Amino acid sequence: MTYQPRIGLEIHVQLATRTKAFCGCEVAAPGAAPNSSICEVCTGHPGALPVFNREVALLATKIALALGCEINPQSTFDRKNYFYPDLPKGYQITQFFHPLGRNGSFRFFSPQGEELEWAIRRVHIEEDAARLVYLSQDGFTGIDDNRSGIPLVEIVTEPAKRTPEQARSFFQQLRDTLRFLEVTSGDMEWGALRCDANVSVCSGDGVRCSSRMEVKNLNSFSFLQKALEFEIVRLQAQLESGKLSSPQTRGWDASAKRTFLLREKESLGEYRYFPEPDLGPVFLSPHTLSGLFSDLPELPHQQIRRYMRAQGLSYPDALFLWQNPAFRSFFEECRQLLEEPGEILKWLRGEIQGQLHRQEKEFSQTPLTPKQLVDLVKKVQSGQLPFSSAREWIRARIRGSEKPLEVLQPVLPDEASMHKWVEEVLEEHPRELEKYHAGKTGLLHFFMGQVLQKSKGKAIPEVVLKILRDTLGGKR
Amino acid sequence: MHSLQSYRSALQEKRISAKELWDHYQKRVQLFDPNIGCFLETADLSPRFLEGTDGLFPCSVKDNIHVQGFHTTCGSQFLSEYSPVFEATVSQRLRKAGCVFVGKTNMDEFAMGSTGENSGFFPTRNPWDFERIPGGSSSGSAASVAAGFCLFSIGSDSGGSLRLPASFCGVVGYKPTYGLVPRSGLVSLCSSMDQVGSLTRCVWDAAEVSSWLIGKDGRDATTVDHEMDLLQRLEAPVSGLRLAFFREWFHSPVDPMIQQLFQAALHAFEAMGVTVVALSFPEIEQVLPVYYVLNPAEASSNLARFDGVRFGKRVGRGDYSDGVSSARSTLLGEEVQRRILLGTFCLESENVNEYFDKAARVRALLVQKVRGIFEEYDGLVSPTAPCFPPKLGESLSPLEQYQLDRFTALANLGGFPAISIPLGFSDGLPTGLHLCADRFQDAKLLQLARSFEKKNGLLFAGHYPFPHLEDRP
Repeated sequence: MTYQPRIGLEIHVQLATRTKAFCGCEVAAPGAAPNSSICEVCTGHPGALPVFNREVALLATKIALALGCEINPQSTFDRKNYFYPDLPKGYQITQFFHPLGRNGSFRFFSPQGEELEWAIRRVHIEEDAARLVYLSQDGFTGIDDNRSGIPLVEIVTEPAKRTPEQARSFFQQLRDTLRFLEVTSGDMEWGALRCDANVSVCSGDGVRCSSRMEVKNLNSFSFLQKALEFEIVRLQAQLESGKLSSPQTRGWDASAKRTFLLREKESLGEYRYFPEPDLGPVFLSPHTLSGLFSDLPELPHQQIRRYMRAQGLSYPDALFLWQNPAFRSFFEECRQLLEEPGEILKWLRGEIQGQLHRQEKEFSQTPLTPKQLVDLVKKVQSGQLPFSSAREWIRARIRGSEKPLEVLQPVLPDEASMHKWVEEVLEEHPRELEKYHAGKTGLLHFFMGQVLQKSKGKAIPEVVLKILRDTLGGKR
Repeated sequence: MHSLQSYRSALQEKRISAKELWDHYQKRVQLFDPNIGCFLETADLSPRFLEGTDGLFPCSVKDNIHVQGFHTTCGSQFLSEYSPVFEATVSQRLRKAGCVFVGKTNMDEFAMGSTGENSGFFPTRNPWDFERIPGGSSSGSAASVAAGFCLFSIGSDSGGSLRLPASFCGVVGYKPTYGLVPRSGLVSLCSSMDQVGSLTRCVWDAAEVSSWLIGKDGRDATTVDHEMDLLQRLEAPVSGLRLAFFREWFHSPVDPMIQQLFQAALHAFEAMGVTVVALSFPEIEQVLPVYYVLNPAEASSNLARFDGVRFGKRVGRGDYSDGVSSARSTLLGEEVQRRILLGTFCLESENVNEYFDKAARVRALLVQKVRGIFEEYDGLVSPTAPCFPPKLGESLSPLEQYQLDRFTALANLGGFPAISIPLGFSDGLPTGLHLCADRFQDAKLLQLARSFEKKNGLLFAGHYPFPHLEDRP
């Protein structure tokens, strides 16, 4: 029996505005003293009325446009009514009936570099609730209203036949995009980005389906993937045993690596929505909309796709360059000097990035020039320079050495030791040798790698290749 | 000197000082309010304050509007100790105009009620007859003006809460167009219909007091920027204007004496050159059903914040939901609980189509039709109330109570300006005439009301008469 999961995501994005959504309170920095940024509006005092912060509309519209949504130029607010201690007014101001954006989609890459699209059902504005602080010593619960009234955008996807891994990629790349648009800090540890996932599983023929499970507060990419994987296995078992449970809201226990029941969903939530009478519509003039639209930059997904196509790069390489803008222009200059970019990327992603990390430096702080790296690559490839020397030079360069590449004396090992390494490697791998003779000539590169490793990078690839060919050649 | 104009000239001619008027009101409050029950809290002002020009106009404010230095109880035990953390925009504007606050007035709890008997503290009595109700929900406000405890009062009106008590107490109750007067600092009952307005001793005062209050407010997104001079046309002749009334209004019982007074009023208008036309408008029967779905629905949401966590006393020691239900069921009055339940019912997913959505659609249709009528007519005229003030404790059923709003609630559904002015007296009890106009036609509405009050002959020294409190036990 095959099973097909259907996954829907609801992502809450905290907008990077200076002030809250419906009052003039500044959005407090994470970790600010509790209730240090509150007023009568965001604490729900009687007689206080909400006044909409226009900045929210602009950031939210930017998101909706980036997600290719149809924009409602007169979206409206509604009240979602329920009692909870974190909800000062007893209702949340949200957009239920006429949201800002509908029918969009988000394009992203699977880890394998496959380009995927996930339909977006709606994008709407709402306000955040307060933060409850459980004061464990005395059993009391504190209410921190700093967070209440902070503007959020909720992005709701359509349920789709996707894998947990793809859901993770979606969420990750959505965050990259939102950060790139500068609409949110995207700091998940501070709750600036939160994800709830809905999942159900159907039999391959679509005849039998499990109930829909909602897993709340998946606040890391790996939690999202793991929680979905866990739920899919659990729901498949339910389908196989025939013991289907009712729809549930569940949580994720990161230490036990399992989901747990929060509550049964008896109905689809009794929120008694109705239009918010204290606020007018969010008007977006054609002028504002076209301005926001034309200001929209090329999105990360589009940039990455452009690199892949223009530079003939793999998705991981293109992603790497997108994520490291400092490397990007450097790489593009190298590209002018060298046809085959693979070696350049290997150096950038390997030794150079590693050294920068170890030496806690920015790429811009190093004196390395594209020309130098290209020369270095060429010398290593042609056997004029052993890899180990090249590596030493790069390390020194990143440390700040101004020693030019030309002074590097190619310390070439004598042919005798290279012969010795080749012989040793062939003796150590009789099985591979046998396969090589049986026709698996591709193993030549395997032997080559082994020799280079044995030499600790001192062997010169071209010379080793010649020795290997000579040694094996007679028999092939 | 009990109207703004006459008081102002008395001040100029030094016949009275601000302090003397203040002391006069203080004395009356001390003497008579124990019998009437207008005030939930009175000012404790040092006379020094009155020496400046600040304290020119003593007024009272309904206890659902925040005034610095006073509690805001909304007439509810739930908020009996609540001190507002900010001042209402209208209170600020009153201060700026030179007003001084005599006290906060009693009201039906959270403005839910038409008799004043729903106060969580004590009922207010009608100054004309202590055995009778003053009308609600601005019961204490209307009674405080009628009893001569202040120059005027500020209240709120969501379905008739200024105009009905004005009718029962023999004063002027004016609800401006929705959006003209800021609601910031008014505790919301029904946000889409609530409007702050005045109770005064003549139409001129209604116009002048409201001219201090109107104007866009950065703290209330429903206010509008609308230039309006309420006083300019006030004394202009009304001949050539057109009024209409609906025949269906009289299909339900209306006190015969009121019908008689109303007929006389129509003749008075005609005598001033106003055309009066009777129209048929069967849909008018829908006003109350629509109103009593939408008002409780919005109220149920607006009152959700009173959960005992942030505001009000905490009752019980159970968990959160236990605490919420015990606080709400012990500290909120019967009518408040009834409307919260009603409103919650109307919004629940299985009922929302049949109740809230339907009511909202009918509201839009009604308003559209009435606005069509306003294209041909300058205003609607009717009695304010179908009856004279009932006796206290006459135990009207909720439905009978709701019927008291039948001439007034339409104005709130449409956001129209409306006013109640004394129409006449019968057996010493007052009753009011109701006028309603299209949105932002407040100046014309006041002009019609002013011309009627001058013609009607109840004004004495520029204001409506006082009851003789001195004669009574």
